[in-house]
Amino acid sequence: MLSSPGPERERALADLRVLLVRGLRYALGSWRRSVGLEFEALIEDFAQEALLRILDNLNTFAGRSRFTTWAQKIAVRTALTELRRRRWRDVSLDGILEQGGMKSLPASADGSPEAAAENADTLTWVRRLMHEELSDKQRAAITAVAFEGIALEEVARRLGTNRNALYKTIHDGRLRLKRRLAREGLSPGELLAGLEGV
Amino acid sequence: MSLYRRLITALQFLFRPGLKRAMGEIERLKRLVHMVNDSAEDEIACDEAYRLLDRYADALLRGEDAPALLPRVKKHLEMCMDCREELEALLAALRALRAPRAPAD
Repeated sequence: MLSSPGPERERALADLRVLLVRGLRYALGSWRRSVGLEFEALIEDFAQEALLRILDNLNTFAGRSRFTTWAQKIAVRTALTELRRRRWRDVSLDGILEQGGMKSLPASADGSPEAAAENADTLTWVRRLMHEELSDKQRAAITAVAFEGIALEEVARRLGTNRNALYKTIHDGRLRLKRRLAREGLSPGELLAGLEGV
Repeated sequence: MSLYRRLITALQFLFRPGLKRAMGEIERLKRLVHMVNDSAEDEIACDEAYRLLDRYADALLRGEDAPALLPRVKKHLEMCMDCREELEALLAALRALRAPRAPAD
C-alpha cells in the first residue's frame, strides 16, 4: 500500500504518522524536560523525517517483525540521533582526552592511607596498561564512551567516523585489554578488589 | 542520632565534593573492568544489532526468550549503551501503542 502512490497510500502514511508521533511522545518522555517547549514540535519533525526514511527503505523490510515495530525502530533511531547531538553539543571531547578520563583519586572514604594507596596503584596500573595496549583512537574512544558515558554516536561524529566502525574499534580495544590481563595472570576479580576500600 | 550530629554529618557530606567525584570514578572504572572481562570475540556491531532490533523487540513483547533467540543481539546490548537506549525507547513506544486507549466521550 505504501509503495504505490495514490489516496490509499496517503491515508496509510497519515495513519502511520499518527502512530509514530504517539509512540515517540511516550518513548522519549524522559527528554521532555531537557528539550523544553520544543518537545512537541521536535516529535512531529522526527516522525516526518522517519516517514521519509521508511519510504526510502521499504524494500529492506523483510517481514520478520511487525511492520509497525520496524517503522517505530526507524523513528526511534531518527529521534535519538538528534537528541543525543543536542545533549552533547556543548561537551568538549578535548577536555576529556586531556584528562585521560581518569584523574588521580583523592583519599578514600574511610580516610585510610592504605586504601588510598591501593586505589592509586590500581588506577596507575590500569592507565599504564591502556597506554601500552591501545592505539590513541582506542584509548580516546574507550575513555569517552565506556568511562565517561558519552553517547557512542556522538563520539563517532566528533572523531570523524561512524558508530558501527567506532564500536568495532572499542571492541578490539576491549579484547586487547582482556588478553593483556590474561597474560599478566590477573583476573578482573583481583583488579576489582584493588579498587575496593572506598 | 541527635539533630546536631545529623546536621554535622549532612554538612560534611555536602562539603566533600571530591569524595563524590572519587566514588563516581571508581564505579566507572569498575564498569570498564567488567566490560573488558565480558568482551567476546564474535560480537556484532551496531549496524547488525540495529537490523535485528525489531525482531528482538517483537520477541520480547510476545513473551518469548529473545536473548536465547538472538544471543548476539543480547550481547551487543550489554556492551552498547546507545543500542540499549534505542531498544528501551522502542519497547516503550510499542507498549504505548498496544495499550488500550480510553474511549472518547
